[in-house]
Amino acid sequence: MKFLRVPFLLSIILLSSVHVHAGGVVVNTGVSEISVSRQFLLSAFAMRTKRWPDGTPIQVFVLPDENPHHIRFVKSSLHIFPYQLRNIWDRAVFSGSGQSPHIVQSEEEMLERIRTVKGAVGYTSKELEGEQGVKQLKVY
Amino acid sequence: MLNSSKFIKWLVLPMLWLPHWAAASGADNWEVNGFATQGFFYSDHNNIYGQSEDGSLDFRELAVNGVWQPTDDLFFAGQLMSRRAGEAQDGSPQVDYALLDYRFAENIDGRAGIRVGRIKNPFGFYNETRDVAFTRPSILLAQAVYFDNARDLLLSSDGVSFYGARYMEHGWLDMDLLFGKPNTETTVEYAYLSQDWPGEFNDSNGFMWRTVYNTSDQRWRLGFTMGRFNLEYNADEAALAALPLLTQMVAPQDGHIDIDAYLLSAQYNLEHWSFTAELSRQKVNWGTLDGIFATDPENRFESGYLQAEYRISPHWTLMARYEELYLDIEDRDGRQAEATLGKPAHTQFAKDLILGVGWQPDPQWLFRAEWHKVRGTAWLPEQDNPDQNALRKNWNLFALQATYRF
Repeated sequence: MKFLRVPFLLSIILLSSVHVHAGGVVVNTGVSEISVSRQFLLSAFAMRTKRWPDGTPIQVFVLPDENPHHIRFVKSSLHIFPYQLRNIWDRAVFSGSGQSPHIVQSEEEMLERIRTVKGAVGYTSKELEGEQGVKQLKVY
Repeated sequence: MLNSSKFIKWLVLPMLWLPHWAAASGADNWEVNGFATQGFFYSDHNNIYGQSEDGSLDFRELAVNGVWQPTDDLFFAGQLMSRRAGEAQDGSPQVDYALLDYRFAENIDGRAGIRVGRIKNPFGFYNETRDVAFTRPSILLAQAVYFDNARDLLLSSDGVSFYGARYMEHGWLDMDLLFGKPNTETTVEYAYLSQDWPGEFNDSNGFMWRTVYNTSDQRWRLGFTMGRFNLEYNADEAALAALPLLTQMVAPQDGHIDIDAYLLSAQYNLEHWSFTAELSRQKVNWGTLDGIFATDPENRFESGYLQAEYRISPHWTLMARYEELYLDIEDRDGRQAEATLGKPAHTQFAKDLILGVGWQPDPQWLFRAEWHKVRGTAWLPEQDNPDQNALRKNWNLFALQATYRF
């Protein structure tokens, strides 16, 4: 039965990665993009890029630094560590070269704000089925 | 001494009204942040930030800043700051920065913009936020590179800056180019002329250019800064004439100091570790001043540090750093300065080993403790140590700091 072990392990790995990617980047349905590059996404969450490619201003929503969903999103979708994102924001805010993102306290509040704010982007750990006014953004 | 030119006043006054306008419009396009820091310093010899030999609480940093973005391409930012640091700074409020930022180009390949006003000098990794405890790796920034004695000169300039970023496949390149009039308060006289002389720096100007490459994963940050400052010095002849003849002979006359600065910066970041190194060279030419401040009319400073940070958890951080500073690379041990200027040799260099710990119980609070083992006195403030001959070459400094941000 040893030959079964590798496919079994592989499917476990695949399943767990599918689990990590459930949910993901969420935007207001007014955002015309279907997918963005990881580079663009990082630039938006770093508060460096202020507009979507169609010109709409970007409004960034995040959970507090210590929130496990925030930590997971920053690591798995932005490919950096939360302390690095925090450093980028603090350097900008305290040198007069930028702003910090909007902070929300729960995933429900995050979805609610994204639904109502034009150009909004955030993230979720849940499936978006049945949610109105928000859509998932693919990252390549 | 709210150090503000007319130019700055025009920028700052409207800012005080920003929250009112923004609140009235109901828009969520402004924000206000700030912090308060209190330090405690204890040294076994030599003073820093007050009488630290007896234990000094004479160190406080308070700031409030605001940003208002009326349109997507335009924003105003300003920060008022009070800094009390021993005899060197009295805590009177200063306009730390006040600027208007217009971003004239932005697309998926990059961005470019212009800033006008009082702008923080883009020097190395830490200068723009040097007074913000949350952005520092330690209580004292590496004094070898960011020495507080010359902080006014490094802090900000009144002028114009151009910035740009270019996004590439594996990272991005940031560039800043600033032209302006650097801040030349009295502390600059202490740093470059050893004391506060009768006279002052006027009509100074300079530029600073920095470029930093960041990999997309932020693992590597590599930077290069170069700058040039021309400081015009006007002696107060009436006040000079009242001084003893011997002092008059060594006092600076009308003239200028030219400072060329170069800085290499590198940082490597991992989940738990960050390693940072910066290496600085400055060429200071004070040949036209006629006074006697250095062994040569042109001096080359050299300094640098290596720093390691270890994040045990989101709440606890350890830090170790080693730094060296030489005020004259032709006279690293200071013997020549001792022979010709009568200054103790150890005032010409400093070697500092630092161990520190940081605790952040929640995102608003940060506490730090650190210990410095120092050989040399080159970066000690002369304002807190008026008698250089009383300085001790080997000394220890213990520091505590509490910060609250909002």
